[in-house]
Amino acid sequence: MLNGTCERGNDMDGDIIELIKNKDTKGLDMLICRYKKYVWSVLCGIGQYRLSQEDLEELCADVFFSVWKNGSGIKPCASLKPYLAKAARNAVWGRLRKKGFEPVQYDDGILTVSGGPCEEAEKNEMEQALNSAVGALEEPGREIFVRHYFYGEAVKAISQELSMNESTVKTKLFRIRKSLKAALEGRGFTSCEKANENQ
Amino acid sequence: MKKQMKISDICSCLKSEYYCDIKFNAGGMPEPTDEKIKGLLLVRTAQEAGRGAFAEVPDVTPICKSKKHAVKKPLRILLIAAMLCLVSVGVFAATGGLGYFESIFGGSADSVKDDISSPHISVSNGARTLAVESVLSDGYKTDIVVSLESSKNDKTAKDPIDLFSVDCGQECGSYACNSLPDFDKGKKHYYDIKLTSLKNYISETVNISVNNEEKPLKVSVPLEHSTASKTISIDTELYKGKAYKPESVELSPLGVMLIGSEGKLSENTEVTLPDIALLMKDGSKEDLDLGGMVDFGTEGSGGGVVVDDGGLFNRSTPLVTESAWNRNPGKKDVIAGYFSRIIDLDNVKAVLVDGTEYTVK
Repeated sequence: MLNGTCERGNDMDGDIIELIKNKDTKGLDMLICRYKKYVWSVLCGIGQYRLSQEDLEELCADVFFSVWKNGSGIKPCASLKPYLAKAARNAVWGRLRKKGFEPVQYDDGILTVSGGPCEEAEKNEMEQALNSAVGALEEPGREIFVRHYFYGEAVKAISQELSMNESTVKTKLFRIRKSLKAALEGRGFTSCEKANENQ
Repeated sequence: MKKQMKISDICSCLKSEYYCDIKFNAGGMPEPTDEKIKGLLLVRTAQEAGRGAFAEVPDVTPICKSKKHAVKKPLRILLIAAMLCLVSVGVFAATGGLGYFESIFGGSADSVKDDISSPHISVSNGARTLAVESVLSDGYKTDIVVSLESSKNDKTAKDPIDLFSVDCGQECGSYACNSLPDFDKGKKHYYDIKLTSLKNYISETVNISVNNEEKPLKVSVPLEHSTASKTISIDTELYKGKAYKPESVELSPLGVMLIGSEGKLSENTEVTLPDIALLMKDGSKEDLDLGGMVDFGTEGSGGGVVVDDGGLFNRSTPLVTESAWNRNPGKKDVIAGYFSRIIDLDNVKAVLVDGTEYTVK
């Protein structure tokens, strides 16, 4: 079964998590078998043009290792896909930074209060505002935004993936940034732009 | 002081439905085999075992037919991994503070090794010890490497940006924080705190405190030493009658600052910034894309400088990855660009401003 065909099924993630929690290596084999293609595509999507094949292979192993190591913290009924997507993103970003790249090119700052008692509440509010603003975006704007700001995919790669002009992708990102800032400012957050303006 | 959160930071909390099903093209990169990944996993787990987590080493070697092999192989790899760990720790120890900055900026950090200071400041509240390991600053952009060591197992896997509060006075700009996992040793973790400001902070003090501690844990870091910088005066006669006049360029290994002035413009008037580039002594050119000052505030910027990465593979990344400005019609406009790599000023022949060459002396 380890090197054979992958088993498919809705309950499979639950089984994998259970096995990994019990430190049964069968779970790790099943995980690799089921999700290697997905993890590889995410890693390549973000890291291509900037990382080598060797780097990406190492990162792929790191992603699966993180599931093995942190398996006890994953909810038994959870789908593994979101965890793997985030782990792959974080792995590539860490490697890119080590090589001197900033993963996201057009990354504006939003200000929040530091260290105060309201910080946690502010963050929650900011998350809600972001999710509702992203939910309100129309396609392909939403996909472009998520590809660039969640995954850190380069503008050039996005334009190729979605068969669009690079400048169209940049313009859409610019407009979305602007609308996102307006949405956050509408909820009382201050963008860096406004903060500098008030200085 | 305000803490800067970038759009990508808050995107970590995006609902999974928005990102899970996005499909990527592997771009012709051949997918590794399961065996290849399992082999790498074995090395990875052996490395982890070398850090004291031996009980968790999984046997993921389907190629191993017997228990004999399954035991021998991890041990052999463990030994190699442990040797590699020793070598890498030795390298970092030998290079002192430079090692941190090499991990942040790459090999280009070597040119500022004499500007790195190690203030040896540490405080403890019994539960944790906060130490300032290394500082590099040009006054406007500052990187402070700190370590935080817990006396017991610390299971709060916090986002680095939430760990610290940074205060350096009312006019201090913004800050960000990244972890430096390569230097972590057991319960001691390393972080790079980046401060950016439009005010020169040399001779000021930066206060760093750890959040959510029962007993306060705070260090004060005096910024005393700055990297060398060059000032280039621009011929303002060339901009006579223009709405915006660039006046000078301040160049440091960490960033660039353009100072200029504008006439009676309204806030919504677009300012056309000059094209600025660095002409290197080897004849190559580094474009400095400072973005623009269409709106007030901060805007990320891009470029397209092709840099040779030690012959491994060519990479294309902008030299200026972040910029900030303060637009003051009637007074001075200041726009700062922060570099993603360190520039060796000795290798800069001239600054090109709208094609006019100003020699760097």
